Amino acid sequence: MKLKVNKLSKKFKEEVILNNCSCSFEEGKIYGLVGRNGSGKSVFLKIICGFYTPTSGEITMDDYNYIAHNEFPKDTRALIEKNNFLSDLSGYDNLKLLSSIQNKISDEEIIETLKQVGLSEYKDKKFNTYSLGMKQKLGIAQVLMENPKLMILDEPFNGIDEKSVERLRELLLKKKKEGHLIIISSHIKEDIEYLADVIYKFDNGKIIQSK
Amino acid sequence: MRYLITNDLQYIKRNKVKLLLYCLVALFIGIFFKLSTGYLKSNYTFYSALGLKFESTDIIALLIFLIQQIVLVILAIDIIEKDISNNMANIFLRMNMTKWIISKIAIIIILSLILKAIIYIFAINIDLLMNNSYYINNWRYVIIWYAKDNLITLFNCLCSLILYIITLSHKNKMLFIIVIGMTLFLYNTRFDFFKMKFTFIMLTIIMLDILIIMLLRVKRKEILEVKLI
Repeated sequence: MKLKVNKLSKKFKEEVILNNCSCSFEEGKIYGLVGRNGSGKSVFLKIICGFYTPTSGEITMDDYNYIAHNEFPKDTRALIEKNNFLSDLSGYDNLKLLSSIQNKISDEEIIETLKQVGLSEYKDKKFNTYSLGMKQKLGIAQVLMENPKLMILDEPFNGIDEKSVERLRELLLKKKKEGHLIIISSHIKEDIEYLADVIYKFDNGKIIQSK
Repeated sequence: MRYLITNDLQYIKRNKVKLLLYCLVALFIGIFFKLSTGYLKSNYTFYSALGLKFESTDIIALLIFLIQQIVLVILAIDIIEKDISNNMANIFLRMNMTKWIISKIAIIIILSLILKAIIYIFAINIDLLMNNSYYINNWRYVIIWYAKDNLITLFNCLCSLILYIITLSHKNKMLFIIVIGMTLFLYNTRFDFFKMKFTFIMLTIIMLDILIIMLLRVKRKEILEVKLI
């Protein structure tokens, strides 16, 4: 899988968020997006997901411009901004319900994913009893469980304790070795320096490759 | 579909129960008043108690009609808007927008069927309490009214959704609701839907569905970026 971003710009009213940005992403690698809050990382990720339309420029996935065809990227999962899970259901039931949309994975695979992110002990607890870190882990599990080719994680380690972050880092490295393309954004550079093969820095609407 | 239904029902349970209860209480009072005080107990009384017909001077019948329509329009727009505002990653990366909007329309139909069933059951019981049995004696007609009433409500909801999508850049919800209310009032006083044939209403609804699906493609940017407008 190859994702190419070519001369991408995004304006909201008169404010320029992204200005003529170009970069590319390949499978089997982890890409880190860094930059201060409000630098345009989340907008960039939402454009890749097809939620926002670029003002100009194009994005292609394997040479197919899905945005021009009014589509969302295929085989992609994302954790962007806040998690939206059903508070009255358990973590496991939430994932099962989400997986029922495409019906691609078994219950065992859901349980395995929960184990991988460190939530197996709490899988039957209601979502509204989860701590911030647990909610974030469930969000990561939602991205990983269906083994998508492209995984997008916006500030995935927010609220997660250091030990769990280490565990999740190892998990993401494993996914990279399996050939997945992973894009992670963080405003803390150290968070992803360890993980990323390539780092793109967002500054004043521009993207600069810094690793 | 199962995901969207569960999600919407939980949203309604958490955020719209009060609105639904207030509206049901208002409707029950209106129906009770109509059925207990309707002069002569003409057919009009029984129609108007369900909000199926109203004369321009009959404020209560008009309110019974408007409350039912507007509540469902609000619910329809809310369950669509909440997905766009908070749940895009979970939904749109797993299903396309056409499948999503068709599921949403199905949920609107389910909500309408439930709400109207409650209203009809209440009206039938009040009618029995008043020793009239008009609805029971005409149960075949009542079933047809119920079906047409739901179709007309769906028609109104779809028209409102189209208006909502077209006017997305004008984010004044109250103004929008007033415009919808007035539009519903005006065209429902001009047309007698109950004289229309099922097939005609069904065809119109299918056309509106297609129009919404097309609008979703044309106005995709405005719809998905509604939070930023």
